[in-house]
Parts: sequence; C-alpha cells; structure tokens
Amino acid sequence: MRGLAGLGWVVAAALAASACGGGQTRLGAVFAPEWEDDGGKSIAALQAKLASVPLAPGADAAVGVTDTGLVGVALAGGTPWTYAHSIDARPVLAGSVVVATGGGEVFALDALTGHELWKRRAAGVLRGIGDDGRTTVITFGVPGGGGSSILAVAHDGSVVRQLETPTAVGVPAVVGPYAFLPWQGQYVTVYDLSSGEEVARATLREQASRAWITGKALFFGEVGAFRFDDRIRLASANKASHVSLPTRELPGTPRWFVPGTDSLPAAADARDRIQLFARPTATGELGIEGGRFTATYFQIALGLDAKSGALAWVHTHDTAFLGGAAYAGGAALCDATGAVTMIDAASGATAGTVSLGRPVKACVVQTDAFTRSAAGAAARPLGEQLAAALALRDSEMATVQRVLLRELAAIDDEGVTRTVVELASDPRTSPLLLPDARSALAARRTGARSMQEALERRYDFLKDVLRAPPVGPIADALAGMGEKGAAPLLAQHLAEPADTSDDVKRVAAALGVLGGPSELPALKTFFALYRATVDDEQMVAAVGHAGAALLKLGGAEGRAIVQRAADDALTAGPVRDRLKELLAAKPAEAAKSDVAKPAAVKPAAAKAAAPKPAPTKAAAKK
Amino acid sequence: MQKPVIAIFAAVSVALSVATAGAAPPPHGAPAKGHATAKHAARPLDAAAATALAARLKSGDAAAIKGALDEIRLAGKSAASLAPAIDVVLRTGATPELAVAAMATAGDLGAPASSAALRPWSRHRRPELRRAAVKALVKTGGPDAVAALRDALSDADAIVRGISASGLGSLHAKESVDQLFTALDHRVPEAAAAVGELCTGAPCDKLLAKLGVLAFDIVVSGLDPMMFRPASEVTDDQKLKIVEQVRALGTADANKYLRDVQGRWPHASSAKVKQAIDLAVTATNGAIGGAP
Repeated sequence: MRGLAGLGWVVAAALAASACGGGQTRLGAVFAPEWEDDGGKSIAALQAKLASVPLAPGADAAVGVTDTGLVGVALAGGTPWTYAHSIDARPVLAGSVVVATGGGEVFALDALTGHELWKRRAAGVLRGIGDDGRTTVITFGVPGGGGSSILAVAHDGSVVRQLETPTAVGVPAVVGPYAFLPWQGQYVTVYDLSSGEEVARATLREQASRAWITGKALFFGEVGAFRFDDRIRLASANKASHVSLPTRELPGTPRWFVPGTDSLPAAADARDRIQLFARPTATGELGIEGGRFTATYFQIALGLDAKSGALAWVHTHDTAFLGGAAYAGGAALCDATGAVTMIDAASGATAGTVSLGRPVKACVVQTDAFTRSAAGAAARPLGEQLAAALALRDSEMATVQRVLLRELAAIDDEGVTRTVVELASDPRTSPLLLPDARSALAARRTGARSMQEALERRYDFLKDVLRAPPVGPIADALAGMGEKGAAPLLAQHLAEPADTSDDVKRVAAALGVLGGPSELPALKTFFALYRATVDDEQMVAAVGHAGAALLKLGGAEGRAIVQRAADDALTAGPVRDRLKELLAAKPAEAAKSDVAKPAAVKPAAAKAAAPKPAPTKAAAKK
Repeated sequence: MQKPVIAIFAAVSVALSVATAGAAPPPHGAPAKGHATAKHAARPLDAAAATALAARLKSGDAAAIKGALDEIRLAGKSAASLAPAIDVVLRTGATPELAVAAMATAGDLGAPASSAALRPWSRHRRPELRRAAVKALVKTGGPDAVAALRDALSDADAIVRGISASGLGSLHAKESVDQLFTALDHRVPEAAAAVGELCTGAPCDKLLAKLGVLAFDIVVSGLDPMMFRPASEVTDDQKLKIVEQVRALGTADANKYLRDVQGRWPHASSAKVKQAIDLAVTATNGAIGGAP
C-alpha cells in the first residue's frame, strides 16, 4: 500500500503540473524503432518496483448500448443506471470507469453508478482504455491512418498527457504513473505519464495488442496472455509467463481477444456472438482460472477444458450472447435482452442473473473480484445438455450443432441413441445437420430399443407423420449390433413407399444379416415387386441384397426364385447381372460379398463398396 | 339410388383428386391408354383360348403377356378363370407397363381373390403403380382390398388417397367411416362422398355439421348420397335436416343443388321430404346467381 500511495503522489504531481498546460505531448524516444533490447533489464526493474504495488480491483459491471445511450448495472445487482448520449463505438470498461464516444465527444462514467466523471472532445475512434481508479488512458485510432492518439485523463477530468503517434497502439493499461502501451503487435512500452518518457519496453514473441489488469495482475496479449511477473524480463527470449487456449474444433473460429488496434462498432456483430472467455491466473504458475474456459456461439455456451479443449458442459440460452467476461468460477455473459447470466464454470448451470433493464444493441462486461457459484445445483448430465442444444431448430445453429453431435455420438448411452434417433427423424432438423445425424446413428452400437421404437413409426399422412424414420442408419446399426429381434420391423419397411431408396437398400442388406425364416415372405414380395421395376441404383442394390438374403435363408425355393429372376428377360438388366454374380458365387463368398456388408463396415465404406450396376433405363433418363 | 345429374356434384370426387394431384388420371375403372377397354363388346373365351392365354401369361415374353392381357380384358367376365394366372404375374413381378396392365385386367375380372395379389402393389414405391393397384382393388373388393384401401388413405400421393377414399365408399366399408372423417379433415375431399354412402346415425350428422366449415361442393358430395339412400339407412328426419341446413345457407349454390335434388327425387320416396325440398327451393330462389 505504501508503494501505491507513493505512486499516487507522483500522478498527483503530474496532474498538478499539467493542470495549467492541459497536457503535454512529448514523444521523445517513445515507440522508437531503434530501441535497443536491454535484455529485459528495464522491464525487470520496473516489475520489481511495481511488484509490491497492490492494484485496485476493477468494477464488476455490465454496460449496454441502447438507442438513447448507455445502460449499466453492477454484477452484484441493484438498479441499472442510464446515461443519455449518442454512441458511435463500442464502450470500453476498465478499472472503475466505462468510456464511450459519440457526437464527437469522449466521456467517462463511473461504471457502477453511471455518474459522469468527465467529457471532452474525442481525439479519434475509440480503441481501448486502461484505468487504475485514478487515471484513465485512452487510445484512439486516427481517422484515415494507422496512427494513434493517446489521452491520459484523471478522473477529475484534467488531462495528464496526450500523445500523437503514427504507431498503431492497442489497448493500454495503467498502474500508477505508468501507462503500458502495446504496439506493433509485439512491444509493450511502459510510458511514464509524469515525465513523458518511455521507461521500459517488453518484447513479446507472440501477437500482443492488449494490456489489461485482472485479479490484481497485469497481462499483455491477444492470441494468448503474458503475465507481468518476474519472468517478464525473459520475454524477448520467449520465456515469459504465458498461457494460451488449446486449439480445438469450434464453429466460427472464435478468438479470446479481438486485436486491440481494432475499433468495434456500437452495435454487436457476428464476431461478438462467437467468442472465447477465459481468465488467466494472477498468481502461481500461469494458467487458466479453474481450468475451464467458455466459448459462445450465438445462444450456446460451451465449457471447455483449458488444457485439452475437451467439452465439459453445454449451456443453452434463450437468445444469442453478445459479450461477457470470465471470473473466478464462471463467466458472466450478456445478451440482447439486457440480461447478464452467470454461468458456473464447473457445471454450466446458471449461477445467477442481473438485468440491464432493457434490450441492448451491444454489451460489455468486466469482472475482477466478482465470483458466483452454482454449487449445490444439480448438474445435468452432459448428454442431456447436448440434447437440449441439439433440440434448437434455428438453422443458424446447425454449424455448432454438428460439432455438438460429434461430442454426443462419442457417449455410449441408450439415452444418447434416443436423442440421435429423434434428431434424424425430426422434419425440423436442419438439412445441414441431418446427414451427420444419420451417420452418427448408423455408427451407434447401443440403444437398440430406441431404434426399434423408431422403426415402428411410418410415414402416415392421416396422422401427420410426414417424414419416415431414419430406417437406413438404424438398419446399419442394428445389423452392427446383431439385433435379430429387429428383423420383423425391418422387414415391414421393405414395403414402405415413403422410405428413401437408400434406406430400403440398407434395410435389405441388414435383413441378410438379421433375417430368419419369418422374414422370407417380405423378402420374396419385395424381390418380386422390384426385380423388374427398379428405377435407381439404390434399388438395384436393394434387390441384390434381397436376392442374397433369399439365397441365404430360402433354401432350394429361395435359390429357384433368384435363378428364375436371373433368367427372366423381364428382370431389369442391372438386377439380372447382380443376381448372376450372386448365383455364381459360392454361398460363403456371396455372404461375404453382399450380406455381411452392413455389419462389417461403416456406412460410408458400405456406400463405396456397394455394387455399381449399369444405369437402368429410368436412371439413364435422369 | 339415383345418380346426381349435375356434373359438379357427380364428378366432384374425381375432379378434386385431379386438382389436388395436378395430373389427370383416367376416371376410376377406366383402362389406361393403350390398353384394351372392357367397355368394348365382350368376346367370350372358350376353354382352348383360355388355356392358350394362360400359357402366354407364363411365357416371360413382354409382348406376349401384354397381348394376352389385352385379350382377357376384351373377353370380359368370361375370362374370369384366368384371374389366378394374372395373380401369378403380379406375384412374381413384371415391368411397370405389364404390371399396370395386369392390375387393370385383374380389376376388370373383379375376382376378390385377386386382391391379395394386388395389395402389395398398393405399397410400391412408384406412385403410378400404387394408383393402378388401388383402382383395381376397388373393383376386386373383399377384405384384402378394404384393408389395402384403408392403408392407402395415408399414402403420400393425393391421387392414391382420393381413389382409396372413393373406393371404400364403393365397397361399403362401413368400418372405415372414422378414418374417412380423418381423411376429410386432411383435405381428402373424396372422403365426403364415401362417408355419405356409408354413414348411419351420428356420423351422418357429423358430415352435415361440416356444411359451412368445408367447401360446399365437398360436403354436398357426401350429403347427396345420403339424400337418396333408403330410409332404413338414412331416416327422413336426417334428410329433412339436410334440406333445412342447405336451405339455411341461402346461397345460389344451395338453390342450384336443391333444384337438382328436386328434379331427381324419386316419386316413391318420402312426400314429406319432397315437400321440404320444394319449400327450400322456393325459399332460396332469388339468391344471387340462383333461380329468379
């Protein structure tokens, strides 16, 4: 605390000095490209100097952009505040303030109360801010160029320092008299606001355009996070404390941070709906708080393991998340309705909510000391969480649902099979998701009961069942499981005109594996009806499978039926060819080459291995 | 029962099928193009000719089979003994063209035993084959036909559904009335006429309650057969209710229909109903578009 008091005095002196001059612009060697790497000496010295300085906690608050200005609320709860002003860029929270621009002005408000601290002419397009509870440093992009304008303003509105530079400076942080200014993607200049000198510089070996304080520690980064600790002196040797999030398949390739040199529009866009939220640890070995981070994709939030990227939970929300921040134990995510939802990092359960009180066009959240847990709330099993997310019928969600479906398919559980069956059966399922659902179903090896229940459903115009169940994938799966009890139901689907020809083909193949004498009548009827009426290659294959099943199950009579069809000029040419192949093969070979296919290989492979007959007349016409 | 003379009512069943499907199938029972028509003067078969035709049906030669089927159709009912041979063609399978011809021929012969051979074709993947099957089943009849037609009410093809609904009426399949109401609620207009042919008691009232809910032509296509069914099946009180409710509509269509019924009313039928019809016609004269 003593150190902080001392620093405060320095800032006060600087403010006093600048009070009459209205700020100084002294670039000197700041951002000079000829800066000589001092091996980390200057930054190490500064780090040592600041190590004992306790950093003031930031305000735990959410701020939204409305049609008339800003609205804010403390995450702890309370009455939302409002502030009327035009807004032309995304407001930024840091320390105890929120800064926004509009109508040519920049202004700072107390983030918890909305009380206006100061207002002045804007120096450009707002990029980012740093704040230590006394002084706010703001970086602006200069319109028409890549340069920056940096403004340091005390909370009483007096300008401490103003710099203009052709360098693109990212999001700053402030600790006492020092402004930490990231630039050129790899440097962090420590600028002494009182003297106007660059007193230290860190060279980072990974894209870094942001500086921020959280959990009483200072970080730099963009792709990952470097901590300003005693290893920062090793930064140029790429040995600084560093953490990044694991790479894993996520829709929309969300990022932890947008580049600090970007200015964000006042209203949220697609980037805001697809983000990562993680909180680096302030002490000890640098890692991610709680070992979890959160990914959002519109109305779905995913809890992911910070080391492996493995999915831990799925939270399905009513509407798309627009912004948020991670805190120790969870993430606070805001949405267009003005709700801020606290999601427990351990379970994905809702740990609490606060409301901005009205719909917002965009929102930002800052969490520092805030914490909220849903401990005690019964966590739903991951399979159920995934099922809830997959039940969303918005086509916008299909991309993330494909990822979630793969996660679901990896769970060996009867309930999961039921979910996949429903997904593959539901006419509202997105066409983008449906093929994945069918493939996942075909690969299942549990849940035969759910599959058989699905087989009992049929297209029925009068009962408003207007989509046939996913019979083909179910046939593959049941054959893979050797579920002979399913054969009668499968056989009934040979006579379902609404089933696709691909499904019928797979049913016929599965009956070769699962069928018995009781399926012979259905096989014979199917064979008779289609041997001369096939109109696509799938049906040619289906009749071939039925023929193979007759040879296997039908004894001499079955063989005679197949032989007659093979000799009959009325039989479609491609079917005749296939039947002759089957008749020529020894029984074991026929079984190997045809009947065993659905059980032995996965659907995609089965498709590739399917016989390729010459096109029928009808197929050729198409 | 007399047939209604106004085309709009008489043909509503088929017309609505066609409109729904966007294609014009031949009327029920009519042979497909290119096939012999059973309406030609029948050429009775002798035993030798029948044996020869049976052999041609088994020949495996498409042209020979087709020719045989055409000759059987021309022979009419005298070729009834060949129905089992046609069933064999259907049971062992044939090309689409031959299958359609075989089904039409089986329909012409009208042997209920053929329904078992026809039934699987009503579940064929190709709609034109399903249509041919249900058309034939309406003619062959029997439990297999009724069961197949009831299944076919749920078909994805509107024409199949329409033919099936009409067919259930023709086959007097009273047990299918509830299903026909469901079909009617699912825009199978042909179900109205079928209900009108089959209903007794409450189901008749249920159909009458559709007046003003469904299109007039559709409901009347069901009420019309009710009007002309014997009093033992549809009571005079129910017929009076129909007349009163149609009259209450007060529209030109109502007037037109009532006048049509007035013209067709059998002399021997209920005088009380006749009087009600006369009064209803008078009351609705002057409706816009109706009689002056």
